[in-house]
Amino acid sequence: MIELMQVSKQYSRGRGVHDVSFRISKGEWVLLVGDSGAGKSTILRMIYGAVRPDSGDLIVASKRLSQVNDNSLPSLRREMGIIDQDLTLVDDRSVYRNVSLVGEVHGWSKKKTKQQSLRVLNRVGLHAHLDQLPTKLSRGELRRLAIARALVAQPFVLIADEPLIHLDTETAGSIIELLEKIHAQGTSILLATHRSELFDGYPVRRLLIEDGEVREES
Amino acid sequence: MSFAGFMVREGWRAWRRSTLAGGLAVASLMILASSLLIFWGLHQSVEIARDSLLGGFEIEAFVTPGRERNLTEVSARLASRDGVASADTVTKEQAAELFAERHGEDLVALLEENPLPASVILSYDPGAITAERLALEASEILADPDIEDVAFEGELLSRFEEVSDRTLLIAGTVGAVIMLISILLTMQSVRIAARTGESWAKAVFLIGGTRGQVGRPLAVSGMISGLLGGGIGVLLVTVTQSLLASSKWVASPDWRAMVVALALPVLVGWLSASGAWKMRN
Repeated sequence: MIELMQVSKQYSRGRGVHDVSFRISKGEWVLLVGDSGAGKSTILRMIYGAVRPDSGDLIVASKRLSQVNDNSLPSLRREMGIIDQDLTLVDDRSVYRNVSLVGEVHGWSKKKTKQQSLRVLNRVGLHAHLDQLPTKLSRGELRRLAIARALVAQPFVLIADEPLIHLDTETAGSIIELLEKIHAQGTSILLATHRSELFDGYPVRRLLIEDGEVREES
Repeated sequence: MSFAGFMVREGWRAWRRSTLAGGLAVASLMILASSLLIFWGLHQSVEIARDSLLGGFEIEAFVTPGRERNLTEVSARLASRDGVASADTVTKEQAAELFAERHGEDLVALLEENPLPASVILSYDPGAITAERLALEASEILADPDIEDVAFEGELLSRFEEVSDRTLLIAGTVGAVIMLISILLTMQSVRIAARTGESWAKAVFLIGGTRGQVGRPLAVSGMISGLLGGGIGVLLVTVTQSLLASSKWVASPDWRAMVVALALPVLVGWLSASGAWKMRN
């Protein structure tokens, strides 16, 4: 489903990833674990095409990324649910309209957009906040909103970069429970986090990333 | 949901989101439209003044003494010259009467003879004569054996042309500088305005939006700034022109100028916004 084959990326400032290879199968829940700057975000960004590798190749949804040009990337991203580190929510759109933006971009009908948006907002527990602006939400609710937006198009994989950052343990636990439900319904999950201890007891596979390389797997 | 609808709706949202920078863009585009119209109006006013001056411009050709009997023939000959609107004859007797009217003295009674020459007064069509052509015209008329001398306000025309040319040059330079500054200001403020929508653009890219779905709404927001700025500028200048319309020196609003003054800010707004966002995937 997702496969990285000896992928390397070097930035001018020196950091990057070196010779990274791993595979994520359908229905897996994988954690990329490591300190800040270890290369977790770079790996995620390469998977959804925001960063191109210097060498090696990736296979995402049966497509070799080296053969996917910039014009075709949007259609590949529509098959994935992506949450980046700063969530990139639109502050002047309500909770509902942040999620329905996906339907507008994907060209869905109004009916389908509404149905899908309400369904997913209900699923993440934000149905009571439809008309609120993101600025009025708590940190945990903002994560839920980002998850809702990532899930509305029913992606095969949910990719999230540090979704638990700045959350207290209780709120982080509720987000992990939500992720578990999503995983239980068949969606693969790939998370980058430096708080892997919070996932103890969950069916996750951990990949330790250090200095841009995969060190261990558990 | 149609792409056009998405483009216009998100363009409008992007414009509303731009707040202060958007307002600055509208203001600078208003200055662009206004300065264009003001320069256009000034140019028209100078043309009106020139036409007015030339419309009443006259050359008086004095008939050689002893050839007064040819006056009608001379008049017809001069009337056929290019640009001549009318040729009025003044006989020796009429000249004496005019002198008496103007100076209160009967010259004939005083001198016992009429020393004043008969003449032909030539009026020219507006635009048919310039200060440069005037000397040539006078020398050609003077070459006629029936004409002894010519008189005209050449200095006035020459000075007017000099002043009007200088005024238009200065106004054109100032206008061009103002327009250039307003275009640069617009580009900068539209760029800042587009940055206020950066999280929206990143969000659209993340959820699978195309470059067009990000870039075109921003271009629409630039066009909205142009439409508003241009519209306000055109309205202000047109209302001012209408209020001053009683003065014969102020040109009436010109619809072609209005269309250009509206289209230029829209174009500048669109181009500025199109280049404002470095497309990222």
